[in-house]
Amino acid sequence: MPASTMSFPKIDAFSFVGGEARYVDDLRPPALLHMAVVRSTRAHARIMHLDTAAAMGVPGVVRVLAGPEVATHLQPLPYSFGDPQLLGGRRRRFDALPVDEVRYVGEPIAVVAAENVRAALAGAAAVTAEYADLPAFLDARVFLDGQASGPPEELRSHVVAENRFSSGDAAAAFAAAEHQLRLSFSMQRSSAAPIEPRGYLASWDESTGRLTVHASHQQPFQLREQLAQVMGLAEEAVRIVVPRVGGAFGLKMTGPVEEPLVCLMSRLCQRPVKWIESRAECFLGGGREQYHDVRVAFDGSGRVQAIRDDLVVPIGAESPAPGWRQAFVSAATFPTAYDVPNVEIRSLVVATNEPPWHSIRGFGKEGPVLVMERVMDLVARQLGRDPADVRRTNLVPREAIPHRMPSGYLIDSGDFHAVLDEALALADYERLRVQVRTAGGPDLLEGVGMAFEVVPEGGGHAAGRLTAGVAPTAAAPESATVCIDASGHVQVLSGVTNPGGGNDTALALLAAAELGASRSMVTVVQGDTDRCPPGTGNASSRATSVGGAAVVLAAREVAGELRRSAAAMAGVPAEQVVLRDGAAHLPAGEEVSLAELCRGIVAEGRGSSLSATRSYQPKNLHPGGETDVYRYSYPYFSSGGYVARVAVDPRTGTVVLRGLTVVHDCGRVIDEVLVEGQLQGAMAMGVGLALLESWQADPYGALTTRSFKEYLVARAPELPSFTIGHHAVPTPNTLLGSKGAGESGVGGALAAVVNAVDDALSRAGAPPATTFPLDPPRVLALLAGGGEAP
Amino acid sequence: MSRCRVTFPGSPADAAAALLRIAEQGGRPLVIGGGTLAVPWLSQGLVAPTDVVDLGRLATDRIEESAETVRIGAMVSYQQLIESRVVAARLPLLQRMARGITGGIQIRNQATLGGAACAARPYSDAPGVLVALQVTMAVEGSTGRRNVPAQDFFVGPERPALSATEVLVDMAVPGSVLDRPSGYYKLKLGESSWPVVTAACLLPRGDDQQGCNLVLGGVGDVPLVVPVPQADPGELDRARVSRAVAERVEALPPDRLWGDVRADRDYRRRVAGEVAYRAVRRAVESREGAR
Ligand SMILES: Cc1cc2nc3c(=O)[nH]c(=O)nc-3n(C[C@H](O)[C@H](O)[C@H](O)COP(=O)(O)OP(=O)(O)OC[C@H]3O[C@@H](n4cnc5c(N)ncnc54)[C@H](O)[C@@H]3O)c2cc1C
Repeated sequence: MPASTMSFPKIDAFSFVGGEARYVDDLRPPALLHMAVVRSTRAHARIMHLDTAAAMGVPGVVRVLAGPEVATHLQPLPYSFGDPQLLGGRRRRFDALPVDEVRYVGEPIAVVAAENVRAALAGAAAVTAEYADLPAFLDARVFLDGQASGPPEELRSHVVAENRFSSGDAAAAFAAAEHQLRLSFSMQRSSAAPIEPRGYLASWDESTGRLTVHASHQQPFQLREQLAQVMGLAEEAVRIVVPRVGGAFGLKMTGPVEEPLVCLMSRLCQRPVKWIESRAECFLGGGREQYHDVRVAFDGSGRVQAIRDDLVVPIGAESPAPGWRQAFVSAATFPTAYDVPNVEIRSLVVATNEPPWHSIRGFGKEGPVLVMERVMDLVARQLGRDPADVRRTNLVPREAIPHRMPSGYLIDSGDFHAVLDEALALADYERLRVQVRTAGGPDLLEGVGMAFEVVPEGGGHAAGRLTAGVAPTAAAPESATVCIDASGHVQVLSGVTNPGGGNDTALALLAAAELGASRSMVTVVQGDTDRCPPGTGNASSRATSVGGAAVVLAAREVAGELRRSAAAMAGVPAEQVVLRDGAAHLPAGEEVSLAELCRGIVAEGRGSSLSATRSYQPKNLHPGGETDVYRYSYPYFSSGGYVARVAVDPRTGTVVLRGLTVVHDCGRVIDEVLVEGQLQGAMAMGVGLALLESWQADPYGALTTRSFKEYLVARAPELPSFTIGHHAVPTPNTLLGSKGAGESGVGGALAAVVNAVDDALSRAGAPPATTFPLDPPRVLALLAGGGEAP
Repeated sequence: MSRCRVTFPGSPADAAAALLRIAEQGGRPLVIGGGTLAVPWLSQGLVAPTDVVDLGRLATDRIEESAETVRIGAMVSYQQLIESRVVAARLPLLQRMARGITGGIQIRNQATLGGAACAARPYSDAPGVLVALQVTMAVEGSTGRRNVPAQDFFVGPERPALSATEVLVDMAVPGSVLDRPSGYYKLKLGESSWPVVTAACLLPRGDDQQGCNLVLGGVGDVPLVVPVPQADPGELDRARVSRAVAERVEALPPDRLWGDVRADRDYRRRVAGEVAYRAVRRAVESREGAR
């Protein structure tokens, strides 16, 4: 069994740092056309007239497509990840381009193909539109008032879904409560912001009737399925190839309208067509925004008896892309790692006239972590107790796991108390707690904060009891093919893809371990729907845990065959053959190299290589004593304890992050370097969300954070080196016992940093921080004693 | 975006002549210095000039020291400012400002001080520093050259005192500000952020009778000169500086206060005194360090 990868470094690191990696924009086939997108300048309006004639007159422009023509070629766009009703959501029809109404500033209204990028942009600029404005709905906070009695009639048309989850009897618990708190929290809209924005190159081949799409994408098989459907093609007629990807973070899932449009353009022009998103276009997307009105009942020991959260989640304009589904996950993840007997979550998911949500790392799970961790801190503060103790009092104990959450999500594994205590010890929390009170002074406020994060992972965001009329859900499988050829070379073909984080290295490592092969003997092929067995790409922190399990199963099958061959040659039982160091070792001490063994097998005429394809599905275990039946949902939960230390400059509101520590449980660690790489990135994102990142628009709904000079992310110089520890509690639900790495870290770091800043501010008499990010203007407003900056 | 002609004038007079010609033909010129702002505007289709006037061959990229002044060509890059021995020795304020420019070595090599001045953004470092240094901006037009004090050069946000037929040639730093102890403080929201509020401070040299120059950037829509009480710089404590800043800011009409996506006017007004004080303190420290 592989333990660590000290001898197994990341396979392709040099191609990334050396500039050799080829991205979609590096592909330039002959006769290539470039596409540009014309976008709405209105948040909500009727399209009175769209004039494309001038654009056709721009030199180099080959074709302009607008809504009415597109509708004659393309089927309506399907919802990604299944029917909205799985999440209690309403359904609507989506066309690739609008015909009569625009719903946000930046919505595509036409596309232009031209001989070069300049001409395409010039053509797009020459398209003119006349609009009749309609009322724009840009601030969903109006839903916060009187949420208990349901949304007012005149606002009902904005409601996409209502999600309610409850357990126990919250009303009774509040009536009997010793202590109560009421808090509101506003989490800002933020964006995925990968280094490489989206990009597609579509090549239609009229002679074969096949469409090949090179895409910077996370989910090639989903893209193939949906493009085939929208284009009216057989799935076999579509090939998706994913070149190197410069980060995805959820942004590159299936659904944006440029996907079918670039393909249609290629088919109509009979030439390859490329579309590369600009940075400003990339920043249109967003997610995570949510408003919470939280009530908490607790006793003098800090034990939380009840929590009620009325939340409003504005998902932007409705879209078939999966982003809006994160709203359900946010509500369903309450009350995170805590064992709260009485829970009432009422979530309104509302459409606005802002750009649609895209999926973002964390997939909705970071919002509830932020809220619950703020709640734990504020309960502790009200009682004058150590926030660590209040958490210990409320965390789900190890012996109560598996633990069913109000939504129906099942916490499968974990040891939260141990993880928290190890994190506190690793960060030297007791000492920090004293130190922040004595250090500093009028020029510097020091603070320490903690957070506990759980992250449901592995795919399966719908949840709930499986009662009459409720559609069941099932685990999505991953598959892999492992083959070894006559020269002993091992090829792994996987249905999971690599957004740049390096899961290919983990897959190679797992195959090599089963086959006793060395690193140089293995190559990994991903992201090509013609070559790879199907899978879900990269999503829900499952590439290694689930995709890796399929690799292990396939590799085991090949290994078995190799052992049997070696055994037959030597006349010994197969169980006595050990595959190690690129050879089959026989009991008598002899060895046969894998290459030799394979040559023998090939010579026997058993094909040109030895190959096996296997698929793997994680499972849901059913806790004993449970009588209700539940839908299949996230098979495993990773968890983590986080401690942050900050210094706040009270005269400017600037925050410096001094330290960030995590102890993380992702089950069995397959590759420590890769897991920690994921954590580093996720934690950096969490820090950015706590302190800087904020999607902003003007009063008319037009994006104002159009570049990295306005949309600020945390950069290396402002981040301390993180301290990372592991505490592995394997999940019973995957073959290898491994859980996820990828999403976890965002919510934990976010909440810990916010709590640390709040700790510093509270000692200076500021009211609790409830609106984020805690950027200098907001911090200064809090220190000024009250009202937060808007 | 349409096609446009590109010219490479060989001298400031050529540049002015080219601009005049374009104006007479009713064209829309775009002057490009280092191009770090102007080229992205072009490629993003935010501007649609008929003519591009590229100053790359103007030979105004020198730093010249004479007895009376240090003359900095409009096309001098931040990196030149960082590496120049004259700037290091006599204008540490300018060097410190250049060192804090973000964007890495590519930007520091390509972006010019003149370009930053002509962009005249309230959310940038250079304007306040140029005003603190009492620089004289030499502007070439079709009718010849004129000199504009830096303080008058910044007319409004993104509005330099340049007509459509003029280019900035160089910036002359007077002898009276050379070798003076100085301090610079920049407040920004994150590592990659544009400046939010800046302050540049020059203290008197030794015991002569000069005053203290204190200039704020990012508070008003142009650099704000803050009159500082004639005190021993050592007595310029937080309260005194903050009071002086508050008085200056209060005197400003509200519509001349600056706010943008990073921070509103209110925040800038609130931190202005502290930012100014930190610049003063750094200047005092640098003077004491030199003693
Ligand atoms: C990544 C990045 C990071 C940056 N970081 C900072 C920072 O930390 N702080 C900061 O203050 N700034 C920063 N800047 C802005 C930088 O200072 C300016 O981009 C640069 O100084 C402009 O100079 P340029 O020569 O490139 O100007 P250009 O882009 O060539 O021109 C800018 C404007 O000035 C005009 N112009 C230029 N030269 C002349 C001239 N001689 N006569 C007349 N008009 C002229 C042009 O027509 C145009 O309107 C950054 C920019 C980038 C791209």
